[in-house]
Amino acid sequence: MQSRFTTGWAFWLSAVAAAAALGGTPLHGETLTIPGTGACEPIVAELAEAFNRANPVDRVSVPASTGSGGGIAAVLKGETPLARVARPLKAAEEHEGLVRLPFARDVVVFVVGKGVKVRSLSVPQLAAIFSGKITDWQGVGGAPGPIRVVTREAGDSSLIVIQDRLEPFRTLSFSPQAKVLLYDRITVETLDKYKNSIGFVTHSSLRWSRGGLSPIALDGIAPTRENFRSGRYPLEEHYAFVTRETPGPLAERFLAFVYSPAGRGIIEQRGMIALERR
Amino acid sequence: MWRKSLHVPIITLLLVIALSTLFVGYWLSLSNLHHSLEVREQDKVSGTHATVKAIIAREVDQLLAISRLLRRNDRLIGSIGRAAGSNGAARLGGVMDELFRELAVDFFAVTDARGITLRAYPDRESWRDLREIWGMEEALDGAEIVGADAGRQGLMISVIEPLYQGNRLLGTAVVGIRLDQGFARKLAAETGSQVFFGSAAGTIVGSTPLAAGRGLDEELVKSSFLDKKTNILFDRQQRLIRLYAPVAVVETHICLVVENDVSRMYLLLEEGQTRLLWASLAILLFVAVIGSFGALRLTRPLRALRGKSEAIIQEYSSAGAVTETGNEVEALVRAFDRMVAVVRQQIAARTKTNRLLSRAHEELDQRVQERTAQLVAAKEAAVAASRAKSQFVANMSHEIRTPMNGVLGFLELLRGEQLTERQRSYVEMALTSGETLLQLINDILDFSKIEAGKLMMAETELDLQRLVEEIVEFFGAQAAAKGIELASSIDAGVPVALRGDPVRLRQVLVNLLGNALKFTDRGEVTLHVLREAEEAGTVLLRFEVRDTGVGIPPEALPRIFHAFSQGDGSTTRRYGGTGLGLAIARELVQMMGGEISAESTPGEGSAFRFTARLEKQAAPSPAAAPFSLSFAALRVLVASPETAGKAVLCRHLEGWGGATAARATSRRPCGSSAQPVQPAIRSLRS
Repeated sequence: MQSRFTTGWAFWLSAVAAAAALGGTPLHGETLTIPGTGACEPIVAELAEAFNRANPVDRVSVPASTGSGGGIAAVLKGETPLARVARPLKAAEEHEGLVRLPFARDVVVFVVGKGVKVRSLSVPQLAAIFSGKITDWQGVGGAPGPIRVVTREAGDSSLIVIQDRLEPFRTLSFSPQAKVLLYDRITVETLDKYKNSIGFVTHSSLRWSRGGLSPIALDGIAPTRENFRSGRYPLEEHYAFVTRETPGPLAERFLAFVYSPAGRGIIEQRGMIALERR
Repeated sequence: MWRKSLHVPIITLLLVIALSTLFVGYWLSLSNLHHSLEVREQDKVSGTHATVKAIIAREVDQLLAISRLLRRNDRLIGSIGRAAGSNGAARLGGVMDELFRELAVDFFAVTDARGITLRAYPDRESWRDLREIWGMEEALDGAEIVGADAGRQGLMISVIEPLYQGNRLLGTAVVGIRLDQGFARKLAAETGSQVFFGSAAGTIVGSTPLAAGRGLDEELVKSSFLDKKTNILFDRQQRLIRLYAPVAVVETHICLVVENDVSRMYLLLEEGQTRLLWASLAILLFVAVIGSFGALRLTRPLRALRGKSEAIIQEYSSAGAVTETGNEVEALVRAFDRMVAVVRQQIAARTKTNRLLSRAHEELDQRVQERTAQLVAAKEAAVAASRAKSQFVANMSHEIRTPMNGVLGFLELLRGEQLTERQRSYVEMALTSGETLLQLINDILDFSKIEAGKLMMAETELDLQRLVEEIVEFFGAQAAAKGIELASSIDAGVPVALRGDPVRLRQVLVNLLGNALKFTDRGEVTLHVLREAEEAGTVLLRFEVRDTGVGIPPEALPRIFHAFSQGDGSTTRRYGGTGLGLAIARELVQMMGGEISAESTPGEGSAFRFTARLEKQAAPSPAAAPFSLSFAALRVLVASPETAGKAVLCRHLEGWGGATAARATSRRPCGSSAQPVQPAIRSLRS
């Protein structure tokens, strides 16, 4: 009896020791990493920079894009308390107990390279261009020249918005000639590089452009600030943080900053609409 | 034995502790080893990945350098300028053939200023019109375009270089390399790893032939696009590590897969595992051995203790050895319990015995006390009875003496009357009988007094000299009548002025001398006084009475001082007497602090000796000194027919101071015959 008792103790003791040896989380200091989508990477980076300036002790870092999915996976794995996303949560992700906190509203705009004179396209025209049915700008009333279609990988948040809002894109398969790019910045740079290009990017990422990219009016609705605010322009994209129920003290403070007047000011300054915390 | 011993749980416990510790240790170190080895392999594969990226960047740079060389190649520029002329195409072909051989590129083409292909290597249908390729419009605008395209021909990196003759745009030169099998082989040769290129669709764009057959995980290829993540996976079965990472080739993204052989890692892991296993086994064995020793050490005293308990049980109880079941501690506890029971039984038995014993003891005590009380009572009764008897006898003796004195007095008176001879003889006989009776009564009275403790010793002045002389005088007539010589002597130096009870001393001497005379028919009786010892205030004197009488038989000697006892019954019949005299004498001597003894040779005589302690007078009164006359200057002649008488007389003379006394026999006087002797006393008897 007594030996069983002692063995039990030995077992639990060793189990506790093993748990302490294996399960101990290393102390990183007060650093918050916010991985996720490239769509809102610039604005989150700017917010983080402002936050870091105001709080020199703490450090919020915004790594390169791993996509909304990558960010969510990181939160689910417990690698970080906060991720940046540009798409709604999937049902499975909601079941995992994740919370989505939208903080800014951006829009997806179709842009054309500097050699393209076309400024407005209908949705079917766009669909025909992106599927490769129309390969020359002459086909949509522009100057002759091959249309260089730049698109994004499946799962990209801007593409999801488009597929969600523009019916023909839901079933559309992209032209084999189209370049499939992975990052917002490279997309902007590539659109810049090829003068006959067309592509879609978030409005806020246009700041990477060296100039010469022109937004296209969608069915005559120009992507102006007024149309964003009014909601007439349909391709709006919500940037949000994804977290668990309790994000932790530093994440909570960063969120408080994002929703503060200072944070909202930064968001608005970048041509986005700052959202209230809900 | 083994199953019941404490060894098993102890060793088991130790082994379990060791096993769990080892398990944790084993697990920890193995996972550590695994982890570090994996990290190493991951680092290696990541390093390869970086190298591949660098090589691709280098290839792009080289391609750029080549295209810039082409821009300054006058022969090429010249032949393009004259291409439209006669023999122009052939000349351009010759130049480009040469160049394509020299330039290590996969693709080489030249277009005119509209973008229409003049000549392409390799010459394929799809490349006749290069206006379709990305960047051609921009190049024709004068920009140098570096691009990458994942087209139907596979992934190709290309540089489109605008060619000028002077300021006039002639056309473009297009050079490209394909990321095909050859490129992958080149990468493999440089990095030592297998390399794959995957497209967004998950298909292999280019790979080394060796790994070609193994296939890629299409899902992982897609995932590395969608999640833009580097995935590193170990393939334990094939002993491979594979890295899937998106790589930007110019603006086009492909999935780069780097594969390394990790059989060495698994070998190391297996070796570590084996080593750990052996080490663990060794430790377990060690623990088991140590545990066995420890258990033995632990249980040995327990067994010894149990053995001692058993020994005690066997010693104090009839129960035989019991084979205990259970381990040592349980056995010990049970043995101890049994021992305690036995000891308790023993104690109980002893307590009972002790109780019985003490009860017996008490009873005995009580009985002894009762008996003692009875004895004391009996003794007291006896003493009381004896005392009453003595009292009675004393009283009776006293009462008898009064009428007896009356009888004797009247007999004395009667003897003085005129009586016939017969009557006188009767009176004489009656008087003698009466005196004897009176003496008898006196003796009884004395003895009774002594026995009743009523005899007290007086203490008055005592003149020893006179006392002795009076006694000799008292017995003189009786001795003369029997014809017996009676003599007394006191040693010189014996103090004569003493204090004591003269009556009782006299009584003793009278008794002894009376007996001597009574039992002596011829010869002599002497009394001699000696000094036995002398102290400051007292002197111990010895009196000796010798006779030449019948003597006392040896067997009778011990009894003679006892009351009512003479030499034998016949003695009393022959000599008369109460038999109380010597008993009284002994009592009196003892009261005077002395002892009495007798020795005798039957037929030759007896000697009675007694001692008495008497006080010396502080200063003897001169008036008491009996002899003031000094014999010092006198000469004395002692003449006697009897030797004893002559010796006694001589001793007397010496005591008086006649140091030069002469002795003589009856026929020859002692002393010097030369001097005349003046007779003083003729006879002592007169």
